[in-house]
Amino acid sequence: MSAEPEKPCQSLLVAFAEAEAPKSPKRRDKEVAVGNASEIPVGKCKIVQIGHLSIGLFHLEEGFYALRNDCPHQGAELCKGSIHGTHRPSDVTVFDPAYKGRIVRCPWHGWEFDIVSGKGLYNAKDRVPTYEVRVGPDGELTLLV
Amino acid sequence: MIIDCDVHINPTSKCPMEPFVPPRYREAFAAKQTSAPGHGYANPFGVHRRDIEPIEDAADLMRVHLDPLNITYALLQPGPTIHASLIHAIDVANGYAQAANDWLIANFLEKSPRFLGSVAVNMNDPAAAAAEIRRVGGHPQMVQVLTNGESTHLYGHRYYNPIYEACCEMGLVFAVHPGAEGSLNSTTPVGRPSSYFEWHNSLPLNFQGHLGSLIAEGTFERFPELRVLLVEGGVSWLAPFLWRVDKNFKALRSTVPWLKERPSEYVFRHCRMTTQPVEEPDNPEHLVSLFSMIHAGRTVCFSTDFPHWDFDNPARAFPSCMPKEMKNRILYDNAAELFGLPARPKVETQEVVKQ
Repeated sequence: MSAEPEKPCQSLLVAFAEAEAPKSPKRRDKEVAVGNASEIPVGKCKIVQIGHLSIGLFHLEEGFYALRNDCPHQGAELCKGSIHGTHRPSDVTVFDPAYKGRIVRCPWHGWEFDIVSGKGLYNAKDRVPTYEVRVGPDGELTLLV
Repeated sequence: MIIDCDVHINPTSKCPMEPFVPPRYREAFAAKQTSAPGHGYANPFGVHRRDIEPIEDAADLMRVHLDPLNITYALLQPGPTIHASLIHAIDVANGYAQAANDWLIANFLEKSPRFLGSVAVNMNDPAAAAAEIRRVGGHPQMVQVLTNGESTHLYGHRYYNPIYEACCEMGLVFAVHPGAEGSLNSTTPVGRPSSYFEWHNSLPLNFQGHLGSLIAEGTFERFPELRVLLVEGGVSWLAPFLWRVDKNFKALRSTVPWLKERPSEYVFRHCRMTTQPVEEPDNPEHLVSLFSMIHAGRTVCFSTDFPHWDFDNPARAFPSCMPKEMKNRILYDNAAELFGLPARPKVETQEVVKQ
């Protein structure tokens, strides 16, 4: 008897699909030496300043990743946030842990970002720029900006 | 055309409920095992309009309310239905709900197709409630299951899932109407109000609690067909409430991972609110702004609360600055769509647009 509900947009599924299949960082040509891998233990972040850009270098289990240190919400230093896992969108009552050690939580308001893809895991559109990090044979880290 | 989503009826000497009490509960009824706690806040001036005689039956209601105000359909929110779940004795409450339903069908629904019915249930026995919904919910004029905002658990609690499952199966809306708040818990989480004035002011808090629970527990994910009607719980609080919920969701989504879209999107899709008692800000444009913020043109339904003291007159309740199309959708279309009633005739729609 009641009218058909409108179709849900399920924006979280869009966000997690992007995290699941992360795009490569935008192609950039300027190479900047940013130290050595031995300085950053797994699960930690080092923040580097390159001109006007502040960038966080993260050492994850999966390798080295870089995120702009600027939350799209109110401009907090995002990369100073804590590193966590999260839960994938799931059936009701189910907790499905995902991305352990791959999520940075903004220190100001706790919004979640996937470090690998830069995707905000709370809506379909927000993201933080990501940068390519190359690791040399002796652990030299090179950031492409 | 108007659909009034909140019209109260009660048993009277002309249409008593006793004949509808299932025989096995008659002794318990006589022994007053239907006792229930009250909220304890009496309006010192009474809750009934003083300009009309008490409504004795369906004919009175039609003559005094529906016909003079040109109300096409009246959604009946019977007193016994609102209070059934407060009865202490669980089995007697089940019998009371059955009696309320059979009384409503015989005395009102069968008297006119303009009356829309509410299924009474005992929320404290979800299996029995679901069975009762299936027993009477197929009546063509039954459009919703009704209870009040006072409850053992918040309404998103999984304890109530059998009730929502039955609502979806029977195509019925789940409706909440105030009336018993304060009977079990304080109406404010901080302490008990000191007056009826304060009690009445605090009712939206109860609705916010239930709505927040329905969102966070994933009730709308579990029951994608479920529609909820929040009756007489206020409207103007909804926009800032949802802003807060949507913002918190960005940080705390992983604690409720079954939510796959912004909380406000679930609310705008699954929930409808009734207007009375409509808020009356000093600047009437502020009301229209608040209504716009919650997409009132599809989410808000008109109600009078007849015959109570805080009645809203459909001709005067909304400010003249409210857009005609929004007003017409509130007065008729939104409830018609919610309950699957005939659409407004096209001619009237066109005239409205021209104005």
